[in-house]
Amino acid sequence: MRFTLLRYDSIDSTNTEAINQAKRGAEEGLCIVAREQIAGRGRHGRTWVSEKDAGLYFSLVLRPKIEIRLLPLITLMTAVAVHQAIESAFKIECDIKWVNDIHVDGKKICGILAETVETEKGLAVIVGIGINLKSSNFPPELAETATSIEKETGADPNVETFLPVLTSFFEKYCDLLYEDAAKIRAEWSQRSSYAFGKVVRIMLENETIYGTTRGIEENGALRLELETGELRIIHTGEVEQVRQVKSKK
Amino acid sequence: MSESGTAAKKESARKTVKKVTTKGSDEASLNMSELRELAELVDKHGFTDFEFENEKIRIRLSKQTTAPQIVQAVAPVANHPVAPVVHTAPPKVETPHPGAKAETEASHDEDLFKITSPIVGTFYSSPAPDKPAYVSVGDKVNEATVVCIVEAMKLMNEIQAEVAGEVIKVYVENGQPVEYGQPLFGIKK
Repeated sequence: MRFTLLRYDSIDSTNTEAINQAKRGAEEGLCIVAREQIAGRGRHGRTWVSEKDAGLYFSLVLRPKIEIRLLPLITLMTAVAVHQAIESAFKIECDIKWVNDIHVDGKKICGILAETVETEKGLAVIVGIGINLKSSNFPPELAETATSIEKETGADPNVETFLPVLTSFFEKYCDLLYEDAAKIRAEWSQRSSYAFGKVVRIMLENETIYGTTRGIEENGALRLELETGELRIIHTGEVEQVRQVKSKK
Repeated sequence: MSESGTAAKKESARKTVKKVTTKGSDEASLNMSELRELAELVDKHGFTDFEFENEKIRIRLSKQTTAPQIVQAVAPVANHPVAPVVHTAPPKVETPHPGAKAETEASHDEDLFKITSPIVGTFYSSPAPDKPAYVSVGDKVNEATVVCIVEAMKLMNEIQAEVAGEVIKVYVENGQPVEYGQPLFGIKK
C-alpha cells in the first residue's frame, strides 16, 4: 500500500474529507491528517473533542479486498495497528477494549470510527482515528475517563516521528487482513484483555446485559455468556468492565 | 445466536389462510403441528424465505425481523372460501414507523423492491438520535439515496436505495438488530 498524506492545519472533520476524497477517486492509502477539527465526529453524531495539536486526527481511505461480511474486521485491524504503534513509539502499555477503543489503565487514549461509502470505483471504507496527545484541555467529563500520550509519558509527543510508525503498522496489518482474516482475529485477541473471561456489562439500544466474554466471532462480534448460560453475540453496544463500574460507586 | 436471540423466543407468527377449497381440502391443508415443524425447520436452517408448491398446496414462509410469517394458500381457487383454520399466535402487530403515512392499497408487499441488509448489525434510521430519519414512508429515492446505517463493530455501513422509487414500507425499527439479507425497506419502483 502506498500512503499519501494530506496535511491540514484545520478541517471540519478528517473522516468527512476522506469520504469526499474517496468519492473523487482517491486510492487506498490516502491519509487525511489535521492539527485541528472544527466538527470532529464520534458515533451517532457525537462530537469528538479536537482542539489544535491536542490530538492526532487521522483518517485513512481503504478499498478493501475482503468479503462484505468481514468488513467489520477493518475496525479490529485498525485497533491492532494503533495499539502496536503507540506501544512501539511511546513505550506505553495499552489494552484494546472491545471493539476498538485503545485504553491505558482503563482510560481511553484513542477512539476509532469507520464508515463505508459507495464510490464510482466501488466500496471504500474510511477509518477515522483520534489519538489524545495532550490532556491539559480535557473537559471535566473526559478527564476521569480519558488519558493522553503526554500524560502517560510525561513528554511532549512528536507527531512527525509517530506518523511513519503508524502508517507502517497499518500497512503490515492491512496486508495481514487481506491475506488471512483469522490472523487479525488472533492478533486482536492477543492484545485485548476483553477477548476472554472478562466480566462486563454492555449497554445495548434497549437493555443492559451482564456476562463474561468468550472470544470473538469470525466478523469480530463479541461472544458473551450471560449469567443464565445463554450465549449472546454482540455487534454494537458500549462495553464496560464490571469491576470498574462498581469501584466508582 | 445474535442480539435478537431473546426476541426470537417471543415468537409471533402471522398466518393468513387464503381461500381453501372444500374439494380435497383435507389432503390439501397441513395440520398445525406439521406447520410448526416446517416453520422450525426453516428457521433452524437460517432461511429468510421458503416456498413450496404442488398441485394442491402452496406454502410460503417469509422471515421478517424475528417473526416468521406464514402464508398458506391452496389451489385451485375455491368456490367456498372458509374461515382461517390456523391459529398459533396472535397476528403480528406492525408498529408504524415514525412519520409513516398511510399505505396505498395497491402496494402489496411482494411487488415491492426490498432493500436488504448486506451485513449483520444494528439498524439506524438516522445519522444521529436527534436528527431526522434518512428516509420515511412516502419519500422518493434514487439509486444513490442513503436510506439508513447498519452498524457492526463500529463500522457504519451506509446503505443506498439501489433503485429509484417511493418508500412504501419500513420493516425495521431504529436500533433494532438485523441479520444478513433481512429486508429493511420496501420500495415501489
